[in-house]
Amino acid sequence: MFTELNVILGFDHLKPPKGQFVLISDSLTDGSFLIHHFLSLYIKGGWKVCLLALAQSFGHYNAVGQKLGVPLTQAREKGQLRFIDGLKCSLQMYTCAPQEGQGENPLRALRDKKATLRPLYDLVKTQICSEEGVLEGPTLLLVDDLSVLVSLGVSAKDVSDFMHYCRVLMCPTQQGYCRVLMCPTQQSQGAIVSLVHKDADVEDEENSTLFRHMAYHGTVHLAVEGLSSGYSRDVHGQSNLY
Amino acid sequence: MLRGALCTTYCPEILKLATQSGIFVYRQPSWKRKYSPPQVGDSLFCGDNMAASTGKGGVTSFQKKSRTKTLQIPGTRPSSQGNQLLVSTGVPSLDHIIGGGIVVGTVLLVEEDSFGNYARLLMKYFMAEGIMTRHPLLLSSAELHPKQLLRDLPAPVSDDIGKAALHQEDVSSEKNVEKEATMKIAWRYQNLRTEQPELGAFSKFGHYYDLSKTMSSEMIDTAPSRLFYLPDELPLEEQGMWNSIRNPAYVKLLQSIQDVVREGQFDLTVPQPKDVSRTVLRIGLHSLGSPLWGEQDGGTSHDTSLPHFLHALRAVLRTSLTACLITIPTHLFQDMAFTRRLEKLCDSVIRLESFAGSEKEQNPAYKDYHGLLYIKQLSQANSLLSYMPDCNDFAFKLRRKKFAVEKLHLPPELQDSQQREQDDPVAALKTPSTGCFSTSGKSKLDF
Amino acid sequence: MLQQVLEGTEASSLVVIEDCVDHDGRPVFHCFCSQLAKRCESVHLFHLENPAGVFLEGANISKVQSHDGFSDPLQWEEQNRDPSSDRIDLASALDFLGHLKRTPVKTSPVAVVIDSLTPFLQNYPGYVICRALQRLLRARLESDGIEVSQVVAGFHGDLHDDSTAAALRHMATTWVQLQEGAESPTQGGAGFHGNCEVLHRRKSGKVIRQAEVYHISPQWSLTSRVQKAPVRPVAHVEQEAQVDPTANLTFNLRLTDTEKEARSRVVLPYMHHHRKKAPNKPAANPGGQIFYQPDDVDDFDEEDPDDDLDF
Repeated sequence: MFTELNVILGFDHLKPPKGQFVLISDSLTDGSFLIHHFLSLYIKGGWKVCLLALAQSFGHYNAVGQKLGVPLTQAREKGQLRFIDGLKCSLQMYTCAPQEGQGENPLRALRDKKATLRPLYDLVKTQICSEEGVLEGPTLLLVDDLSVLVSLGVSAKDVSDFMHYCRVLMCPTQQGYCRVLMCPTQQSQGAIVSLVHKDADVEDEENSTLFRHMAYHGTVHLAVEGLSSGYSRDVHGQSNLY
Repeated sequence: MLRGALCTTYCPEILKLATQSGIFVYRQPSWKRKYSPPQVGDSLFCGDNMAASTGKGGVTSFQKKSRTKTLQIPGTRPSSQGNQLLVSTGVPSLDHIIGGGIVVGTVLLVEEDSFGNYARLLMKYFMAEGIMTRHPLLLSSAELHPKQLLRDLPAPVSDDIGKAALHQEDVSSEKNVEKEATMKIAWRYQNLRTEQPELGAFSKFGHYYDLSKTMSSEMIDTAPSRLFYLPDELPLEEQGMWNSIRNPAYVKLLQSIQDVVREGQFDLTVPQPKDVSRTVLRIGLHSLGSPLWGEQDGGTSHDTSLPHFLHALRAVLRTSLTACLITIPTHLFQDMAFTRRLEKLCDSVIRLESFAGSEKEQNPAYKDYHGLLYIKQLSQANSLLSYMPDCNDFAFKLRRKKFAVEKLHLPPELQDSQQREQDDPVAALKTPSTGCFSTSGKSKLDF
Repeated sequence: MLQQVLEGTEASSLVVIEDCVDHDGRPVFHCFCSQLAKRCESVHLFHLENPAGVFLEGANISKVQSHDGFSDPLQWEEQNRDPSSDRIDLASALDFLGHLKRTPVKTSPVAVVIDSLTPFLQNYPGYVICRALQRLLRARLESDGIEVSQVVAGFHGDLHDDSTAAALRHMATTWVQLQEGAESPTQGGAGFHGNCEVLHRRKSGKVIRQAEVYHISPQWSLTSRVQKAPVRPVAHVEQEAQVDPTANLTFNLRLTDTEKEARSRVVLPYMHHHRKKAPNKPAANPGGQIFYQPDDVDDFDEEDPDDDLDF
């Protein structure tokens, strides 16, 4: 299925595209399989990947990565994969445990309603940029679940601001809003993939606001939906491309 | 009415089985035979931490498999794909439909039925199973004292009966063969799993319990347990006002959990001496998020205390040998979006809907059951996709001695055909609002 | 109307383009950029949501002065701040006029393009933005040394509440609401198209509201025309949705056209009487005729004679 998806998206599995902001939304099903897909796609493509994991642990990604033939532990040791453990930060924030190392907790906004996600952005930046603040080679920023932030009380606006800066960092010369007219000469070094939950059956105002914000940012939108015809064991859902 | 016919064929068999099944529980040898033992770093949730602590970082999956250090924890087993370590909920039929059991390192959320009776029962099963498998327990509650909960655990069915049941298992499988051979008319149903109505009755781990008896207090007292009773832990005056970001009750609870994890050596990030035998901590959080925990205005989306607790709890669980069962009275929450957010922060989610006090109690389609069970989400831990059950129509029933989950079947059609409902009963099931079609609806439809 | 506003034949001082998630407004915006660059002496582009390059493809770049509110709107990037760059942050960006003045001023009126008001509206209340826009429009050559001929601003309708939209709508002289349009069969894959609703206020006070269809060629030229019968597609869908009860019957409930005509020709008994009153009309049938003579007691009433029956 992933091969077909690559073809539809026009993604070459050896040379993943640059300058794309891929937004994944899921409704009544779980779209995280696409996160795994893009993770392995870009790791295989030899990119640097920064995985901002807010929903799952490294062990989880590692276990799945092994199945997909992408040893993440190795990639991490080589420095190809930078892993930001959002769960751990959240826990520290919750228990007020002293932060290991220097600097403030990147998820300070979870406690302090006035704080922004700027520390998180700074962390992302130090993980993937050289000292001059530019990317070293092609780099993917992968955010596994932005809705977690909303669930934890960060406003959609703050998340949007954070993603705006990530976008400036990763795809500053992002071209074109239409692939037909996309100009291939001038491309960014980075790409972003992120996931937002958008369940159709419940009205979650903040989440849908976040989704709309992200939809304005994104260049590719993959919508994963549960089957409207009901539960089926073997078919998980349909995915649409916008 | 083929479905009805099917039921009549199967039911007597099953009922017999169920009454005789004192089926026995703790069969470590048998799972050893059947499954390859779990491997450190590969099967465990926090594989990376484990690998790092034993100095195995950076090996490929291939190498890992060749160098296995078996991790044998009583009362656990690897999942069918071998990448998850499971513990039983204590209800084998429930284990079966959620993919084998609760994955170690994850949360099973039970959304409570409207009076909380069945959810409490599940909690008791979970705890009883922990005592039988010598898993340490952590039980919290704000309503009923955890001690009271523990005092009322169902008694395990003794081993003698268990062996008998084992024998019975063989006999019944023979019977099944016979039965299959004789299925000439309803031949299409021959390929169905024969143990269907008693899902997973012969599963390889998990104990069986007799609800009519309670577990002896000696057994309970020997089990290492940490009880968290909110009024004892946090005086009422300190529970009072809070700033909606951090509810002190949840903070206290999480601290207790962290303490137990650390002291009981369940933490996988800390290397343990080799001679210490590992075991799994069972955490049961009963009726979390009820008003007694200080959940304020029926769970509006602005209150992030509980979501943040669950997120932090996930962080703790992922790096430790723990399995967690939480029951939450989500029916108290007005905001569906809030419930959905909680669900997303847990790993597996089931919802219980009891017929007690609802019009479904009268519905003949449901007369064999006490409620419905919905699987809302299953754990994805360590795998690309979660386990997919065959169907999503489940019901539970509470007999004198046991609680069981079954696939929802319509009762056999025994009445005369002229009294048969005009509507497809399945359609009526799907839209519970038209539930009472047999009494009021029929008079309008048949004239 | 959209095309006229774009080309400057219809004067409008503040054009707001509202788009939504389903329909991206950036192509229309792009057209404004390139058109204004042709039309005006200088164009100031305040871009907050997109890099400037997005809007400048194919435009006369020498005339466009861009103000970069995209790279660092909240001043998170202190350490690498380059003082020489034209980066602006949200707070200072609101002083549009100040930014215009800071650049070497051209003599003739300038046009200002703001790619989206949304970032402002998220950080400031609506009236602040309204005032800032008003200040910009009020600038006069004599007092401020600069004059603005047209302001074009983007706006994401589905990210703001109705009151914000209403406040802006009150300010705008032209409000363009973009919608997803039906796929136009004539145009191929190239370019963009969609529907829009234009609300335009002339200086005279005349208000024009039109539903239009627009199409943008790959060379960023926009054409628009009034939408023909905008209700039709909706009605069509409704018709389809209705179940036709006469569809699968074993007998015929329908009449063909010839049958209908034949039916209309049938002269019913009482009609003859009416015809007689119209003297110029010949009798319908030269053959057998039915005479019906109403007498005095004949009640020729409209009411249902079976009204009193109780079924």
